[in-house]
Amino acid sequence: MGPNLTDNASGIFYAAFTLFAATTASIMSGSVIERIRISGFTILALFLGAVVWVFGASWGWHPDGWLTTEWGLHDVGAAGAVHTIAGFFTLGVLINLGPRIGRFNADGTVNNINGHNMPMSLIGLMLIVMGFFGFLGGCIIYTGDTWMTIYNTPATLSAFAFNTLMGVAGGMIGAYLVTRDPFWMMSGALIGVISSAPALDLYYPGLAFLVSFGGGCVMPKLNDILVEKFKIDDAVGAVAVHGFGGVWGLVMAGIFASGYQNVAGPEISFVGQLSSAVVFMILGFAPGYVLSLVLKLVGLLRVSEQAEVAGLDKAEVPVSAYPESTVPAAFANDPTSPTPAE
Amino acid sequence: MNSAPITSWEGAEAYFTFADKPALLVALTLVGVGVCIWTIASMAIHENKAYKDM
Repeated sequence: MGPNLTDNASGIFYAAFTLFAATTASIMSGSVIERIRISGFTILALFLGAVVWVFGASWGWHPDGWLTTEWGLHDVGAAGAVHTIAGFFTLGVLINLGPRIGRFNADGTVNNINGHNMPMSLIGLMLIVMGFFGFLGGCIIYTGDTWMTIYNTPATLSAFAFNTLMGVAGGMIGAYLVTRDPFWMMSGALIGVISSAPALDLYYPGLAFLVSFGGGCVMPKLNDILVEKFKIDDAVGAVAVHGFGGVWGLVMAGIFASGYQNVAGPEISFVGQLSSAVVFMILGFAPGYVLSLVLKLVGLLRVSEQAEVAGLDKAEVPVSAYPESTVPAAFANDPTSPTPAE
Repeated sequence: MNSAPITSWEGAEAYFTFADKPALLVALTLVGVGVCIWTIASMAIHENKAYKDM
């Protein structure tokens, strides 16, 4: 790399893989909000993005990775290497972090804690959906003759773009059907893309739609089980969306893309995909649990109860996001009162 | 500091300001790691003070 006028590619690859690493941390970020210390979160994010995910990518998102050469793993869109690892790392952290104050009653029943701004949440989810097209487009390489997947198998940009779109559509419809909830409907788009991601290069678009539709129907229910049965307070459902969504995608590729050849190693198989999914789950969960336990023991994981009740913005941030909200309503509605410009 | 190893772009391919000096690469990496550790430590100190001041 630079400044090397003969090398146009290495910097692009470094930047793209840095994006993937940052994505793993952003997957964790939503789940742990409102009670994790920023210092503890940063340590976890660094470890996940700079260490844990790198193992997953080298094992299963590389033509020479052993999951591919030994078990025939096919995961072109990194559903396992990015999403499953980050989702299960998050699960390990959530177990040690504990639920937000007020999330569960003494009898175990669940209280819904609404987000600050639902329209902004939906806009954010839409931006993620838009970003997925670049993210997945970045998973294939144009060699001058044709597009190649990360495993050096031939593919087309057309297949990646259209099957990503089918994933968005199927996941949204599925999640809407089972929840009627706009937040989960847009999260369903993410579930759908992740569900189709392992075999974007191989699926017929109608099949990609149905695989994603299935994922969109199942993952919100899995999130309900995590919350209601296991008392895991995942504020945005990332464990279900990314962790189990990735597993779903890998297993579906083992069913519907079984028999396709890899460049190196055995052909795609159900057993190979399922076994690889288990590896990704353990690879994510174990370090997430252990590191967050260490942070908990040294007091760097969770904020004080007082700060959590007040709100972390109020406790830690030296500015106010909405200073006008402190203006008394009667004063604000008085037409004779001076405006800020005056 | 004049660190440019070339005097003309004519025929330039790979040119090095630091990348051919391993000691400097190690030093740059260590400084980068140090900045990250310093920032995280600063975060923790800020958090502890903020919680105490509440």
